[in-house]
Amino acid sequence: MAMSTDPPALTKPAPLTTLWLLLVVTSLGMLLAPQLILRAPTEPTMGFVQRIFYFHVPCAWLAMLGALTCGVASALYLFKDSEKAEHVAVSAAELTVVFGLIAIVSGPLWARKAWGVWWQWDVRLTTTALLWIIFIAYLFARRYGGPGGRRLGAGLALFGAADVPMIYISVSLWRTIHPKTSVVPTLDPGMRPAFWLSFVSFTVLFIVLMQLRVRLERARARYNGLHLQAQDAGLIDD
Amino acid sequence: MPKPKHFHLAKGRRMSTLLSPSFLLSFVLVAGLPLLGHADSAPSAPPAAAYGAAAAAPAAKAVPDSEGFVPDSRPANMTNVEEGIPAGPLVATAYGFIWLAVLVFVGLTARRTRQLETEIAQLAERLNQATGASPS
Repeated sequence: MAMSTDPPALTKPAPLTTLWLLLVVTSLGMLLAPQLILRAPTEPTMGFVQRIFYFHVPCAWLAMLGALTCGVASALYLFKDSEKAEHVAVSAAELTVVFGLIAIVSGPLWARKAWGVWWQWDVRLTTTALLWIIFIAYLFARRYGGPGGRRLGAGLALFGAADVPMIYISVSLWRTIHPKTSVVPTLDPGMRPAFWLSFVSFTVLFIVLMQLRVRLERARARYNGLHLQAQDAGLIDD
Repeated sequence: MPKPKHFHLAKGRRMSTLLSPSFLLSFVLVAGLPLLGHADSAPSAPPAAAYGAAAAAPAAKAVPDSEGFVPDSRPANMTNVEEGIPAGPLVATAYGFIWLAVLVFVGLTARRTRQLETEIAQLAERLNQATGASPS
C-alpha cells in the first residue's frame, strides 16, 4: 500500500477568494485611513500627536484579541487535546507579541508629548507590558521547553488571557493617567470615520495574518508527520 | 490544467506574492506618505470630545471629585504639552514602526513557509521513491 505522500498541501485549504478578498479590504482600508486621519479634527489640547491614537488603540485591541484567542485555544488544547487549537494558539500568541509591541512602542511616543515622559508605571501600561512578557514567555516555553513545552506554554497562555480583562478595566478600577475606555464611545463625530476605518482595517489585517500563520503551523504538523513516515521507512536516521 | 480552486501554498506563487516584502513595503509607503509628510498643524475647530484624561487642557481648572482627587491632574513634570517637541516625527515614527513590525512578521513567516515547502517537497519525493508511489 502506498503511503500518503501527496505533495505538500501545506494546510487544509481555505478558499482562495476569501483570503484575497480580506486582503483587498484591509488594503483599501489602510490606503484610505491615513487620508481620513489627516482630515479628522485636531484635538485641541494635544494637537497633531493625538493622531497616534488612531493606530495605537486598534493595535492594543488586537493584542488583547490575540491573547484571548490564544487563551481559549490553549484551554482547548489542554483539556480536549486539540492539535488544531494548538495551531491557532501559537499563531495568536505571535500576533499578540507583534501587536502588543506596536502598542507598547506607539503609546510612549504619544505619552512623551502628552505627559512629558516616555513611560509611567501606570496600571494600564504595566498590565499591558505584563501581557506582552507573558506571551514572550509562552513562545519561549513552547520553543525551548522540551517535550512538555507546549503544555507549559498553554498554561502560561491562560494567565495571559486572564490579564486581558484586567487591562481593560484597570483604568476604571484604579486612578490612572491613561485615557479611559469611555474615549471611544464619546469620540468627536469628526474623528469617528478615521478611527473606525482604522479599527476595522487593522482587525481584518489581523485575520489575514492569522490565516497565514495557522497555515504555516499546519504545514509544520504535516512535515512532522512526513518525517515520522520517513523514519519508519528507514529513510532518515534519528 | 484547470486552475486550482483552493489556495495552495506549495503549488503556486500566490503566497509568495502575498508575502512579498517589496510588495508590502511599496504599499505601506504609498499609504503612509501623506501622513509622514504632514507637518504639525494648528488645531481646527475644537471638537467637543475629550481624549480621555489626557484631553484636559492644562490651563483648565481641574475639578476634584468627591474624594478630593483631581482625575486629570498630573505632576508638574508631566503637563508639558507646550514643551515644543515636534509631533510630526513622533507620529511618523509610530506609523513607521507599525509597518516595520508587520513587515518583519510577514517576512519571517514567508521565510519559514518557503523553507518548510522545500523540506516537505524533498521529504515527499524521497517517500514516493522509496514506496514506489507515483508523485501526484
